[in-house]
Amino acid sequence: MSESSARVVIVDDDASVRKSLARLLRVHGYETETYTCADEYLTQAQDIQAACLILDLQMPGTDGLELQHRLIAAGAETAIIFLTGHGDIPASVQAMKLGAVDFLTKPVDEYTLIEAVDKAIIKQSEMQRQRTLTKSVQERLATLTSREREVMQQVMTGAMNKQIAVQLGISEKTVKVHRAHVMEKMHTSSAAELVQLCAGAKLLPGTRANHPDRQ
Amino acid sequence: MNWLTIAWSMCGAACAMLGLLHLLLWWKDHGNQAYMLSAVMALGAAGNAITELILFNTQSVATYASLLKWGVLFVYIILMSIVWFVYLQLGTARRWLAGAISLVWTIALVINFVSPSSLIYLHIDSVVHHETFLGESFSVALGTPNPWNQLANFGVLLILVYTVDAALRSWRQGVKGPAVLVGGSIVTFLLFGGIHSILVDHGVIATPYMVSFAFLAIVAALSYELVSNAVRVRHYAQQLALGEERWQAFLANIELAVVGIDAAGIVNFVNPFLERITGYTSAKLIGRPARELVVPAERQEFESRMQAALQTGPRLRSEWTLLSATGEQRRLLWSTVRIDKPDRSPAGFFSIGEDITERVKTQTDLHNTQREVERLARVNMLGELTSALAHELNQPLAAILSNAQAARRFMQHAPPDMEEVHKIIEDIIRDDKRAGQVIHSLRDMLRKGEIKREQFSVNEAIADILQLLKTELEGLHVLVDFEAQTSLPPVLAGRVEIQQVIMNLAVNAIHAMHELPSDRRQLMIRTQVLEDEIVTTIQDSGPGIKEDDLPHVFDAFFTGRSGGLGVGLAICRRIIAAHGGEIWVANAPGGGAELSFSLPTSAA
Repeated sequence: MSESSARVVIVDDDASVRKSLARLLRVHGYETETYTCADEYLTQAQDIQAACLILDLQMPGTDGLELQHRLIAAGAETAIIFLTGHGDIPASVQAMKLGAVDFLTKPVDEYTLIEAVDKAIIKQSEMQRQRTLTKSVQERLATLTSREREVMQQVMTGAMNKQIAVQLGISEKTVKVHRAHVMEKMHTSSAAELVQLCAGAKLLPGTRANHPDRQ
Repeated sequence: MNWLTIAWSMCGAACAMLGLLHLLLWWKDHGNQAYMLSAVMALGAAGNAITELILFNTQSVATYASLLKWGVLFVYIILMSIVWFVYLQLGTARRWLAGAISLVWTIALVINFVSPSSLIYLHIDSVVHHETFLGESFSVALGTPNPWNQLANFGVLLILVYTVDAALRSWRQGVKGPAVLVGGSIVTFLLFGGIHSILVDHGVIATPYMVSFAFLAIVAALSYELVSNAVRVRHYAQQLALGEERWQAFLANIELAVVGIDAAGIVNFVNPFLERITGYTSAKLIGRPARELVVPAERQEFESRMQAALQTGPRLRSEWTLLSATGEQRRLLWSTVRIDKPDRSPAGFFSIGEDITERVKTQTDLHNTQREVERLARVNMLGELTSALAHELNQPLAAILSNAQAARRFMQHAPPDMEEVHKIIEDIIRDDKRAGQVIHSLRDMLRKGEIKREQFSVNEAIADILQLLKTELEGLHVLVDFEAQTSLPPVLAGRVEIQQVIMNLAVNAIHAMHELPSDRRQLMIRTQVLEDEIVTTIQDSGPGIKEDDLPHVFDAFFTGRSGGLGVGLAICRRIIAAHGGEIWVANAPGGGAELSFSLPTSAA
């Protein structure tokens, strides 16, 4: 159980269901938080930006689907598992389209639930990792001067120093100095590594900078 | 020729004429004995008139005596005819009296012929001649009156009594005209003729016998009665013909089927409407067995019913389906009477049938529509129920499964976490009970027990419930304010069911006030009559019901409080609807929920 300390949030209006699900997840080593309704979760949860959620589809007030909408609108990176009393195909289709991890029918079997929760936690931690990486790359990018940023964009397209010098109208030696600063500030050692880093962080500013007129 | 001759000849001729006429009438109107009697009477009167005429001119005592004997015979004939005519014509005369009169007069007649000088005189001394005021002469006998003549006079007296009695009885029965005419004429002229004869016989006055004229008057009066009768009979016959004509027109035009069936079950009469709906002409219908007119499926029953009806008389109303020539089926509602022969044996049946095909169809359609609506409502409700039930049962079932699986995990720990397992088992038991309760409530809701209706006062039902809830109300410090309308009309309803509703609403109201400070818990109940309905309102001082929830409070499994199943108000609604009432909810202006239900008064 690699995700032993993972946190799972349960939102269900039924106290018995809430309690039993939390208990089952705890015995599997998950940390749980329970909320009686969507509004309670939205107002009282410490961090709604990142969570693995088990939502009851039918709840008084804001129901499960609506909560999913609201979280997406708020830009939260959540992995959601829906629970429903009976198979509701239109709702499940809609939920899955919006990125729900699974759509389970009550009563739910232990293994099905744990499998779905593991999947959700992987998805959620992936999203979490992505988010952390992007954040750090963005921080590194922020330390670059505008000239260094221009050089970096050229480097990422695979241009030689000489080509960059011609392109930017500066000496090849100056290009070399800027390139060394970029590599140092971005914590990379080669152009290939730089490209990989930016791609991983879903930040590829080079393309845009290369063809500003195409915007 | 003197005027006496002329008058008496004419009287005799008139009598003879009437006699012959009545004889002819008797012959034409076979067996009408009244004509025969009046004919005999008139001919007797004619004979009497001739006898009297001859008497006027008789000189010899012997001839006078023998003529008197003949005269008495004619009087006998006339009187007997009168007696039996009255008997026949008025129908109210006493037979024994008629018999007694006949006996008296027959004895008198025998004496008349046995005695030497007739019934009138023991012997005649002489025949004297008198002159009338116009100088005409006539013969009158002088002699010793025969005492047996008193027997004849007694006989005449009896006739008077007999006639008056018969006429009076006839009058009382409402047959006034004939009573006056027959009784009056006989009595008047018999008194006149009888008294006059006695006076002449005893030589008190010297006039000719005038009995003939009295008899002519009687014969004339009785003829008038007979003619009136004949005219009346013709009038009746005309009316009858008119009635028959109307009856025919009625049968021909009425929008009802009419059929006559004889004792053998053969059709012997049909009207045009029956021809129209069966598509057969009367020629094809008459002579056919009646059972062939109904659809084959009903023929056996028709046959057996007809046989039974021949014995016991028909059922007044029966329904049969007729099969038309084109194969179309028409349903008719028949009213049937059995026609009996004069000897009381059944002659057959006469039936009038109304075509109720369309009505039956409309009713069937209506019935089918109702059933369809009910079925849809049931299906719809089942759908709702299934959905609600799935949700309600899934919650505890889901909890039980998760708990059980968690417990299994805890058991695998070393050492097993028995404390946690124990908690889990407690939860499982609770959830299982909860699931059971859902099922139980559902059964309550679906149970369709017959409601045992009785008359009772809603006020009393409420008072009973308040008594039952007394401990709870006092324990929670709920102030009860019961405004009962005085002289509330009773309702005809299931007392247990209505009390269940009241109990449910009261308990809901009490629950709604749990969160309130104890000095603000107030339960208000009031009853009032609105037109023909009794409206009961139960109001609490709680927080009221959310606007969004108001339309749903009566839905199954909708609940405003945790732990509630949400079937109570759904059951209430079903009960009230089953009683033809309504239940509704509102938030009271001063806060708190206000639930009301109406029930029709038992008079409505």
